[in-house]
Amino acid sequence: MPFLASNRTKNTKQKVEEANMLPMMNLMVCLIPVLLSAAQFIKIGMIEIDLPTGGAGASGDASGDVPEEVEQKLGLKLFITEKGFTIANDRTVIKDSTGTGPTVPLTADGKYDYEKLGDKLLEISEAFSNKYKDGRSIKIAADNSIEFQVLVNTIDAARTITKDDKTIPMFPQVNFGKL
Amino acid sequence: MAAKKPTDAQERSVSSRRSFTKKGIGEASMPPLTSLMDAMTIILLFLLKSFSAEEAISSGGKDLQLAQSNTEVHAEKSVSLSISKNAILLSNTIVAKMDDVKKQEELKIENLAARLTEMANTAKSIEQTHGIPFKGEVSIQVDQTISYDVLLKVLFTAAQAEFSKQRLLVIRNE
Repeated sequence: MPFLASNRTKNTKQKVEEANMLPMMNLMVCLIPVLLSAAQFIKIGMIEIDLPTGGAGASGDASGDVPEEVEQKLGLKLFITEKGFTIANDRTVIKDSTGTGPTVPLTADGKYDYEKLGDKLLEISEAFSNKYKDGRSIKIAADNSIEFQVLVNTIDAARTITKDDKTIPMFPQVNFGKL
Repeated sequence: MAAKKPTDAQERSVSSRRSFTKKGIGEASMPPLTSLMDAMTIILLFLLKSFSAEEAISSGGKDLQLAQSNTEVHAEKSVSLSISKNAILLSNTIVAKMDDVKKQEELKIENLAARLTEMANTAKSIEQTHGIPFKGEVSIQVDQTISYDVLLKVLFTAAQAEFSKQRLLVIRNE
């Protein structure tokens, strides 16, 4: 007796086996928590460096169109040495309270005093940043032996400062120089 | 004589009896895993994509531990330059050994400059043929113990090779 069409269909369907998804599921269940935990801890940021641009009017001496008023620049520089931080520009060097050492000397336990540096730069920023075209720029130079982490901490201290839960921008445009 | 119509309850009991007979007593029914697999695959792909800008850091190892910073700017993808404790790498290929870089007096690192110039020229020719602009951007991963003179040499060399938009990669503090 021939099979009914409906029975034939049922038999064919029963023979098709589903792929075993369990090993794949196990792998996924392991991979996702690993990736999630890594995403929680590693967050990459970046510090942009403002290289000086060599514009045509940068020197202002070759052509005939010299500006009537010579543009005043703040030209703030920050030197990192083994003894601490020295703040200066083309006209003056800020000394410490004794008048001999760097502007912000090392702490008693021989560490760099980023907090004091921030306070000093805040004073300068409040006094001069709005008066000069380059009032938001700072050039950092360091001794050859200064480590990159010290440099990054110094950049952080120079860019912004947090006072009473408020972040105040100071010198966000950072450039590097040579001592 | 008209056949008696079965009630709803009777129909349910018949169908359940049929399915019970089909599956058998010892055969446990599997939960539908296919939809779960789909969801997992989507989550996995999303997570892997979110790591795209941060993938290089995992391969750094002990030789390349980034500095920590409170910057709030997120990393972007560009030409990858790494300064590890032992070597300078351009797109994960060693271009200069650290001992040689420390010894040299001049700021320009010749081999690095040659490779970067080559990359810049390639990017410029692509700009002309396909219209993809060459921005001169380079992301620099620096080990936190690298000294300032080495960093300055690398920055100077990159600027000389027309990579003037330089970014130092750091680990963001929360």
